[in-house]
Amino acid sequence: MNKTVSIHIQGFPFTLEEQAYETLQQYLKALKEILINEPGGDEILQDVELRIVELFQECQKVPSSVILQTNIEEVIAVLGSPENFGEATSEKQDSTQTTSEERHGKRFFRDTESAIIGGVASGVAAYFHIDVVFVRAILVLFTMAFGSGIPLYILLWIITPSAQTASEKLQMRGLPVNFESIKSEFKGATERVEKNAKKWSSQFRRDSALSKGLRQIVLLIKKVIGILLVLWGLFSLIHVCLFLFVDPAIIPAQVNGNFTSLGELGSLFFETKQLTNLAYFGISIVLFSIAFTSILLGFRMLFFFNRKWFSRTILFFGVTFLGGVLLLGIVGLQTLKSFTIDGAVSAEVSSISADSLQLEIDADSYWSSTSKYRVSNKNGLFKPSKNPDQWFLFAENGRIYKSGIAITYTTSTDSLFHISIEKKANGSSYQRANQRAANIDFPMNVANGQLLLSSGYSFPSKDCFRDQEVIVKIAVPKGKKVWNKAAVVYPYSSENQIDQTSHRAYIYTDGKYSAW
Amino acid sequence: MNVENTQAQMRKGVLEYCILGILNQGEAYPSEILNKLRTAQLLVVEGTVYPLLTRLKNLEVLSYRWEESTSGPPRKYYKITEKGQKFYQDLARTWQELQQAVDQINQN
Repeated sequence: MNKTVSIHIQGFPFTLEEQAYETLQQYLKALKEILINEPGGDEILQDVELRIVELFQECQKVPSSVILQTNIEEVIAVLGSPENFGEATSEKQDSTQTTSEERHGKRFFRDTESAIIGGVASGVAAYFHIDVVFVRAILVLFTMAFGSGIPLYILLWIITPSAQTASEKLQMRGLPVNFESIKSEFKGATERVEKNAKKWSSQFRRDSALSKGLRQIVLLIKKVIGILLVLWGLFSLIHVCLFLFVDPAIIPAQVNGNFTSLGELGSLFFETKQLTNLAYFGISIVLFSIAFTSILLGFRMLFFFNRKWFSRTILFFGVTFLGGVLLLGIVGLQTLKSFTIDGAVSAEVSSISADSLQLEIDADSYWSSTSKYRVSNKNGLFKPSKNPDQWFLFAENGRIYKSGIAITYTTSTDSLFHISIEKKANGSSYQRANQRAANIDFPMNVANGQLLLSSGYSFPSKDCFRDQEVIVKIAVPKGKKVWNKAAVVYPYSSENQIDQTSHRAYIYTDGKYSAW
Repeated sequence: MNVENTQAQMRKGVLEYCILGILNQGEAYPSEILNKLRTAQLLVVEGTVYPLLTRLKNLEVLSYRWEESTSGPPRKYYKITEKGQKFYQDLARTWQELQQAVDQINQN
């Protein structure tokens, strides 16, 4: 019992033994490969197929009887092996070699026969006529150096077809590349990428177990994100309501471990009550928009509802968000304006004729990297902080307290120590800035050749934080020294002059100077 | 030295001339041409003829028309063109010259 196959050749139906069918198919395929690059190759193929029809009809004693393998072999014997078709055309190739070269344009194929992974490397090797070992070595180098070898390989794997037929395998090692062949190569590649993408996406859409599982996971992640968005939105909404409807003075805020209120914090930064309120309003609108948008997005992920309504609402909150940002911008600009002008108040507070100056600040003084003498608040003359280490701000009884002063040294023009205090602050005008500077309170004391300095200073809360600063300037006479307890704080670095540009300080111990 | 190969090359060389000779006598479709060639024992396989016909057609030496057949597939009737006739005469002259040359060499 033999299986049969029904086929049409040039519109004529035939029934073939399965083996006969396969032989015929192989024969025609081989023929096609040889004729494909010939001018009129299709026509020749058509002629041959018509001839096959004739020959089949001749060997059918009864019409529509089955064509056997022996019949096929006879037909092939009459027609001749595919090489005969090629030989006839090869003569012509000699005479018209220039044109045939173009037709044989080399193409890049993956060589799956000598492949390790996808045959990309061996394909490249065949294309450029080099040893595949070099190509693989280069790929490995790329992978090690930048990791770029892997995506490059995958890309080439996707966009290049494998050489499957004999003619493709020949083309793989074909003639030199020209512009046209490169162009068609790329065109073909893009088409293949599209085709592959379609194939894969349709494969993915088909319910394979993997894609089903993946979709489940994606859905789960979506739900979780949705719930988180809704929760976060509700949380921010509560905060917004507090901001909007509750006096900020009773909203707790924390600064360096000390509790204060948002209202007070705001008043320390914004000059007027109006600006403070506007700032809070702007922040509220921005947060409100973000909160509602996240709640909406969260619900959208959990359930599905009217898309039009959804997008309009999102648009609305987008506008309110921008409005809030604009408001904050205005407040910010107003506040920035009060930082634009530097004001300073400078005065010489004392001149001392002692042989050396004893400087006292407090025990925990240290030198900052900018060579400015800064001290902590601990044990100063000043009001002690509840949390003295690195505190950010301390406000009490209508005053803001700040720690840290700068001390600079210059050479005195006479034989006296001159001590002057410079107070600095910013403002929207010179008047405002200078007023702020004058408002700074810096306690200090000079007695018996001893300079006692506070480690911090204070200013009224209504002045707000406007870069208030205190600089203590000490002019040291030639040959005299500034001491801090037992160590020399500021002697001359040489016999002549103090290095004024860097304000470097030295400690004199055991007859040697060392940087402090 | 492969005798068969040389024979095939020689046959192929005159095949074109012979096909033109057949068509010079009148229209014919491929199977007819093949039969005549086979009868003349010039043909080993049919495969060599089809590319030749197509090439001659592309060179405008031959032209063809389709004709329906009652017994089988439609037939391509080939006809020699004016250009083809001139081409054939050239080949015929060459053939005669060759024949004479070969005879002369073999006789002496």
